[in-house]
Amino acid sequence: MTLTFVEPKLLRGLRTKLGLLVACLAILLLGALSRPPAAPRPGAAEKVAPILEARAEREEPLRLLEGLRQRGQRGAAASFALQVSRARTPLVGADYGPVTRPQAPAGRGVVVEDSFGLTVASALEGSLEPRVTLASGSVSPARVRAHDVDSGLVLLLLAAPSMSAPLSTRRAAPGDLVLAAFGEGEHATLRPVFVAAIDGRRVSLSGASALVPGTPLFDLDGKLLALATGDREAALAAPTLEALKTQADAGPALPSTLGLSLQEPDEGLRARLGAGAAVVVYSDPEGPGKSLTAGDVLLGVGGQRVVLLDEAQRRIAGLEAGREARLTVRRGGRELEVRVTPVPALAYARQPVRGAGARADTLFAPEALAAAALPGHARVLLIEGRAPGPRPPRPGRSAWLLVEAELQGERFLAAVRP
Amino acid sequence: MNEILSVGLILLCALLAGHVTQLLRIPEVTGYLLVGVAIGPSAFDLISHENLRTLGFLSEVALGLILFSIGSNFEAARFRAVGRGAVRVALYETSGAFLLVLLGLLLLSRPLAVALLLAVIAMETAPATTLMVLHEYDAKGPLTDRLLALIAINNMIVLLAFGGISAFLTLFGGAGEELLLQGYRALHGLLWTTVGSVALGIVMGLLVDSWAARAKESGEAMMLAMGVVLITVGASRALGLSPLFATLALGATVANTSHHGSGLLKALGQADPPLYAAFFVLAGAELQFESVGALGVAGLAYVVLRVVGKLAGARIALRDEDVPETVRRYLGLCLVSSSSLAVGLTIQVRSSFPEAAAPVTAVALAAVLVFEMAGPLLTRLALVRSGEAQTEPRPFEELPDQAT
Repeated sequence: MTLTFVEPKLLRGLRTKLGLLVACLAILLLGALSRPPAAPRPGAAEKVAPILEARAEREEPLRLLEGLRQRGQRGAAASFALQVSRARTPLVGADYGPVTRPQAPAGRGVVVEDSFGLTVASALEGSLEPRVTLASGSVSPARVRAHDVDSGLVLLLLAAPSMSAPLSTRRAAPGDLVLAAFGEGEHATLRPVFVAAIDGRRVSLSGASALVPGTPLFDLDGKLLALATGDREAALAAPTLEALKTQADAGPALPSTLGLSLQEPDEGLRARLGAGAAVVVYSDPEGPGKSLTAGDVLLGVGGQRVVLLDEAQRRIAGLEAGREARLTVRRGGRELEVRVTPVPALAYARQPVRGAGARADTLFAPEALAAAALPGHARVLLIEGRAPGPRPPRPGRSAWLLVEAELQGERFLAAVRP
Repeated sequence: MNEILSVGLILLCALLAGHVTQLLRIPEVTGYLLVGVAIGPSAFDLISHENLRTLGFLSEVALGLILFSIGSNFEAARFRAVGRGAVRVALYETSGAFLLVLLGLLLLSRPLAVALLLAVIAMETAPATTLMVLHEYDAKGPLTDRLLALIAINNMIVLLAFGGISAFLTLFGGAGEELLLQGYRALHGLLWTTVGSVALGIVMGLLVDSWAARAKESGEAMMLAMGVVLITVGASRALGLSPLFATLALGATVANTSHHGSGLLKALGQADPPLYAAFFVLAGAELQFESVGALGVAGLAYVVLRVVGKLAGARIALRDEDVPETVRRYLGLCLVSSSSLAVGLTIQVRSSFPEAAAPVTAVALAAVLVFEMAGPLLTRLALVRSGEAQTEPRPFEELPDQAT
């Protein structure tokens, strides 16, 4: 046990403590009561001024933003929703059914001039005569007048004229802040998106993962810059629109396709062939170019020799849809002529499935069905996050893919290895 | 980062810093401060300015507890032994720093208001940092006794002087109000922050006294002590009093009325470490490292003159005193640190004298950084050299000075 020596404290006794307490409380009361009026302290005006200034500074950008929003909104009001009626335009293959979304529009677009609308090919899902729901709510039939394969932009002729003033366009530059219009007409809201990079007539966007194909992108002055293609990219409006108008003036012909995927020949092949040409790496087995097979070397289109990939593609696009054309190919050392009937390139335009992380390298529908052991008349809805489209599978690809298909009204899901 | 996350991060980083400082043989406080700097907005910005603002109350609470514990050293019987000497030293060292800094800045042709305010801020010695180093090394001895008393008195003198200088500047740099009203306002401000704050501390202290006998368990004692300190700090803020004075007075009252004071302090001691660690990490995070570049001639003069003033003041005050040689030699070194109070005064300058705020803030905050880093190291040096550090293992190159 420890003994503690307790020192006598300075303040002892109840009376002392009570006295002290009363005295202190009195001091506090007196002090509080005798406080001088909270008169303007020196420098009060100077203190308030910077606060007011700071507030004004804070509010200035807000005012600016509101102005921009209103200007951008004018542009957004010209946007429209697309409804694609598949029934009227038969697609290339019966199995190439689009993913139907009755509740949402297939895509969007924007009225650029009195009776012209601009949208992207992937929004049409192969339809050449979509219907357009305008800002006013009225539904108007439309017809494709021109198609730019490079950018994917499509010029529509609207049956019902809607807007008198033409929408002005501007060239986008990397780093531009653009406003993407969500929703149509008066209900359109704007969300900011950045232009990350420009490559030819395509722009890659940052901050735009879920843009519906054809969503118009405006700059802060309400000028049209581009239209989203649905896969984090957009098609540049500014130089393309003029080209589309010229194309539309020239005639009703739309760029064609043969459902082929072409590639530049490698060095060895080029050395053997002498002049350069294009090598077929994939041919849609149900497509117009099904008589060609992978490995064929394309030497001529429509009777004219082609030496460059670009040239071959341009010539194929220039073929008239529905009219038979001749191709010159080299197959296994022999040169032979092949007859093909091209279809409009638009028929192949497909929409990436939103929110599913679209992938570029997926299967074709027939292969997917075969791999999933489903009969050929089943309809493929989705291959690994992407609607079935005319893109070649990457050679040597062995990862598992997810195939969703519809057969007699029922949906099947299968994981397949291509 | 949200506040809860940042508090957790602060505690763990502080713990880590504690381990590292033990290896490096530097005071924990320095480690906390460095960690604070590292995770604060100056460096990695894990703790943002926003976090610092919301966590500011933690610092206030910790400072309240620290001053409470310093105040509780003011027991009458103990104070009589060192008190008079401490008052004398405090007066000398504060005036030394004040006069040298004032003259130096005036010679560098700074405005009178700026020179006066900086000179007052120069007088301050950090209570928290010093107490923390004393605790860490379990310091005991004549130097430690004097140091504790000295710092409390130093802080009171600083607050009084700041009140006086504020009154002076308000009176003579006023905005054309009636002289009488201005004078009254200045006087009332001075009395209210001093006498009023002490009165509040005493009232709260008496409350503790009447309750402490019933709060016997250490948990209860902790709740009582914590609650009273929080109320004192909060009430001071609400009433426009000085939390510093009030908590000091609270500690002193408890020490002089109640036999349970030491029990309360012990109970608080169990709760303190995380709070103190957070306090210093936050203090470190608030240090603006980039400000050192802007120190300039005035800043350098301020730093040098403050140190010289304090050392010389302490030396002169102790010249004829009957004190051990270690005290004479090393007390001055323990007075170099500077921290929260100086920052607090700077903030007050910013709101009360906006025209002088920019130069005062620039110099004072940069200097706080220098002193906050150097102070604990110097205090540790003094404690080790004087042989009052108990827990510090002593390598032979640091043998206590045998001069006594």
